[in-house]
Amino acid sequence: MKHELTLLLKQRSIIALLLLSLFLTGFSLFNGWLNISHINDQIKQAKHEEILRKQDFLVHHSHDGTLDAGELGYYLFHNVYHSPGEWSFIALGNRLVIPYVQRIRLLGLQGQLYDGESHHPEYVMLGTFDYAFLLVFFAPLLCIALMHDLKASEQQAQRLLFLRSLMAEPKLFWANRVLSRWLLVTLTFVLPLLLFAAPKTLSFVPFIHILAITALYTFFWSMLCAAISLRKRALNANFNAMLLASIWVLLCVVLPNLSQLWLHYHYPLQDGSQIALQHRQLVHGAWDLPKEESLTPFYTRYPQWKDSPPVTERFHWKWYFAFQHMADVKLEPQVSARAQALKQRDQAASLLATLLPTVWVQRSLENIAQSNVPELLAQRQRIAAFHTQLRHYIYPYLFVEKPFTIDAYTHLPAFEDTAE
Amino acid sequence: MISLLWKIACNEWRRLWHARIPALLLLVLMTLWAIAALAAHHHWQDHANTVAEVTARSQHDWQAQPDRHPHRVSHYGDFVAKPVHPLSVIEPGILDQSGHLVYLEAHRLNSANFNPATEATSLGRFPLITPAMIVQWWMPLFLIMIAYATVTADKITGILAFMRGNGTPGMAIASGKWLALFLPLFFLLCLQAVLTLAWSWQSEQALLRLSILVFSQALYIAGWCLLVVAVSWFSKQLHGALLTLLLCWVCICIIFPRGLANLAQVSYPTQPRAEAEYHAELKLQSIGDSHNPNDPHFAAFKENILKKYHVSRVEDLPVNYHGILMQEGERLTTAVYREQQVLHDAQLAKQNESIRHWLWLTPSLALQYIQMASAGNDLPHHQAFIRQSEERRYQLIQYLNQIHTFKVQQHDDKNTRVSADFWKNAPRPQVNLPSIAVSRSSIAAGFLVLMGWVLLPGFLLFKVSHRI
Repeated sequence: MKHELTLLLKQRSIIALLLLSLFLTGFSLFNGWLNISHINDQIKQAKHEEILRKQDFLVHHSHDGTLDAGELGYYLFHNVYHSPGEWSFIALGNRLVIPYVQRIRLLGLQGQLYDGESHHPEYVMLGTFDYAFLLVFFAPLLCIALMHDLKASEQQAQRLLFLRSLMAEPKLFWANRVLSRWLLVTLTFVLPLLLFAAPKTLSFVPFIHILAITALYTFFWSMLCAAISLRKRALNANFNAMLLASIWVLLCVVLPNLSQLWLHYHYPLQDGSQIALQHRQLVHGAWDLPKEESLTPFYTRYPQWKDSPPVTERFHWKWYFAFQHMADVKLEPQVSARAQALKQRDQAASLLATLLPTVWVQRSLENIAQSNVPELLAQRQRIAAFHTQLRHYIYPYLFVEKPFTIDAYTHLPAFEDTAE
Repeated sequence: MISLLWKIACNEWRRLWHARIPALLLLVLMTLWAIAALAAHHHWQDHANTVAEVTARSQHDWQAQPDRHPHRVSHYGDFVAKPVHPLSVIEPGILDQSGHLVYLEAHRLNSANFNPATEATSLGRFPLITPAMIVQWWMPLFLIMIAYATVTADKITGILAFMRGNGTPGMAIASGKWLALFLPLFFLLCLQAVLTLAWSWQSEQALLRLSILVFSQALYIAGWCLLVVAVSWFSKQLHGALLTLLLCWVCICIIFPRGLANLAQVSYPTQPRAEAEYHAELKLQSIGDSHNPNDPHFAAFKENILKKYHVSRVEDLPVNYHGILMQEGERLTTAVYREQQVLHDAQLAKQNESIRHWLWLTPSLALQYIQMASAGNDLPHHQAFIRQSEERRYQLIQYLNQIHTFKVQQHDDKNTRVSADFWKNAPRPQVNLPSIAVSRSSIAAGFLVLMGWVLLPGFLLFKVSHRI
C-alpha cells in the first residue's frame, strides 16, 4: 500500500487533481457554513427586533394599563423561526427556500403559513455548492479519473505482461491499487471535514455518520471503476472512461430525474394555491353570513365559551376570530391530505434511495442536516401548534372579555426555537 | 477551398459512422432529448393548468361577490397567477423556485408564494433534465466523447502529417473537422427550433425569442466544437485529450456556475422577508398614524381637505372622509412597500452583478441566462411580473377607496353595502408576460461571453493548426 501511495503521489497530474478536490471540499464546507451562519445571524437579529416590536406595541396600544385583546390578535405579529441544526451546513437542501423567520398573527393560519422567503430564485435554481453536492457529483468523477485505466495504463506503458509475470497474488495486487486510490479520494473529502469540524465542537455521532456515508459512497464508485477497468479485456482506457462517465450521467442525473417524474405522477399533490384561494373565500364569505353560522360550529369545538355573552352588535372580535379559525378547520382535510401526499413522496424517495446510491447519499446527508421534507412538515406542525397555543391563550380575553392586563401581555406564549 | 473543406468533413463523417460508437452516442443523446422534451412538456402543462385554474377561479370568485362595503372588498383582495411562455418547455428556468401566485390586498405587499422547490424531496436537488440542459450540458459532453480523438488519432496514425505534406493547409483541416462536428449538431438545434416554432408560433414574440435562443445555442455549441478540435490537435495522446476535455466540461458546466452563484449569495446575502416587513412598518410609523388625532402629518392633511371643500368640520364634507383617509394611507404604505421592494431588487442586482463579473469563466452559465431570458423564466421577467401585479393592486385598491369616498355616506359608513356592479367594473388589467426587452442586459452580457467563447478556442485552434 505504501509503495502504491508513493507511486501515485509522484504523478503531478494526480497531485493537482487531489489538491483541486481538497480545495473544492473546503470551499463547499465554508460556503455551507457561511449560509447557515447568515441564517443564524438573521434569526438572532429578528429575535432582538421582536422584543423591541413587542415593547413598541405596548406603548402604542395600551390604554390605562390594559390592551384590547382583539386589536392584539389583529395587529401583533409573532415571529416563528426555522433554525438550522448543528450539521445543517453539510447539506442545505430546501433550507434556502423555506422562510427562516416568519411572522404569524392570530388570523387564519392557512393564509399565512405559505408565505415565501425573499431569496434569489436563480441562485436556488442553480443549486447550492455544499458538501452533499460535491460528494454526490464530484467524488465519482474523481474516482473515474483515478481508476478508469488501471489495466489499460499498464498496457499502454507495455508493462502489463511483465507485471503479470511478477505477481504472486494478482488479486491482492489490484486490490492494493484500488484501495490506495480509494483511500486518497476519501481523504480529500474527509480531511477538510475533519479540519473544519474539529475546532467547532460539533456533536460526534452525526460526524461518524457522515464519515461512514462518504467512505461507503466512494467505495461504491471505486468498486464500480475497478470492475470496469479490471475486466478481462479492459485495455482501452478511453472506452472505460466513456462507459464510466455514462454510468455517472445515468446515476447522477437521468435516473433521479425519471424517478422524480414517476414520483410526481404517482403521488399527485394539490397545488397550494387552491388552499389559499379557498381560505380567502371562507374567511371573507363569513362576513356576509349570519354570525351564528360561524359561531355555532365554533362553540361545538370550544364548548367552554358557549355561554359567553352573545354577539348582538355589527362587529365583535370574538366572532371575527371564530370565523378565522373555522376557515382553518374547514380546510383541515385538504391540508392534511397534502401533508400526507408529501409524506408519501418522501417515503417513496427513501425507497428509491435504497436502489440509487446517489439519491441515498443525498437523502442521508439531508436527514442529518435536517433540511428535507420531514423537517418542513415538522416545522409547519410546530407553527400550527404555536398558533393554537396563542389562540387558547387569548380566547378568554376575547370571549368573556377578561381585561387584558400588561401582566398578561408579558406572559404571551412565544415560539420555542428548536435550536435552544 | 469550399470543396476541400467539404471533402474533409465528409471523410470525418464517414469515419465517425464506421466507428459505430459515435453514432450510438448520438442516438443516446437524441433519446435523452426526447425524454427531456416529454418531461418538460409535462411540467409546463402542469404549470399552465395551475395558472389557468387559479386565474379562472380568482376571476369567478371576484365576480361572484355580493354587495359589500368597499373596504371589505379591498381586504378580500385579488389573486394573480404568473403567466408562462410556451418556450418554458425548453427552459423552465426559475419556474419552480420563484413562486407563481401573488395575493393582492389593501395595505400589504405580499410575496409570490407556492414554489414547488420548497416541498421537493431530495430528488429535487438533482439537476433537472430539460431540452435547454441537453444543449447546455449533455451536447458538449457527448461531443467530447464522440470527437476527442478527431485530430489526435490522425496525428498518431500519421495521416495528419501526410495531408500536410500533400499541401492541404492546416486551417482547412481544422475548419473541415470543425464543420463535420458542428453541422449535425446545428441541424439538431434548428430542428428543435422549427418544431418549437410550429408548436408555439402564436405566443408573444415567439420568433424573436426563438431566434435569440437558437443563435445563442449555436454560438455555444460552435465554441465547444472549436475547443474539442483545438484540444484534440494539441494533445499527443488520445487519453490526454479525453481527460483534458472532460475536466474542462466539469469545470465549465458544473463547478463554475454553482460556485459563482454561491459566492454571490455568500458575499451579498439576502435579508429575510420578515425583516423587510418590519422595517417597512417602522418607516410607516414614523410617517404618521391616521388613528392619532394629534399626528402632524394627518392633521395637516385634514386641514388641506377641509380647505379644499370650504368646510370647517369633517362631518360637513360632501364626501366620505374615511375614504379619503384610506386613499392617503394607501398612497403612503404603497410608497414604503415599493421602496422595500426596490431595496430587495437592489440586493438581487448586486448578486447578479458579482456573477456577471466572473461570467466569462463559464459560457454555460452565459447560455443559461440567455435561454432563461428567451423562455421568459429569468429574474427580470419575474420582477416585471411582481411590478405589474403591484401596479394592478394599487389601481384596484385606489378604485375601491374612490368608491368608498364617493358612494358611501359618511354618517352610516360601516353599515353601507355598495352594489356588486362596482366590483364587476373594477380595473383589473390582465397581467401579461413582459417583453423580452426586460432582460436585455443579461442577454447582452451572455452574448458578449459567448462571442468570447467562440473567439478564444477559435484563436487557439488557429494557433495550434500550424503544428503537425
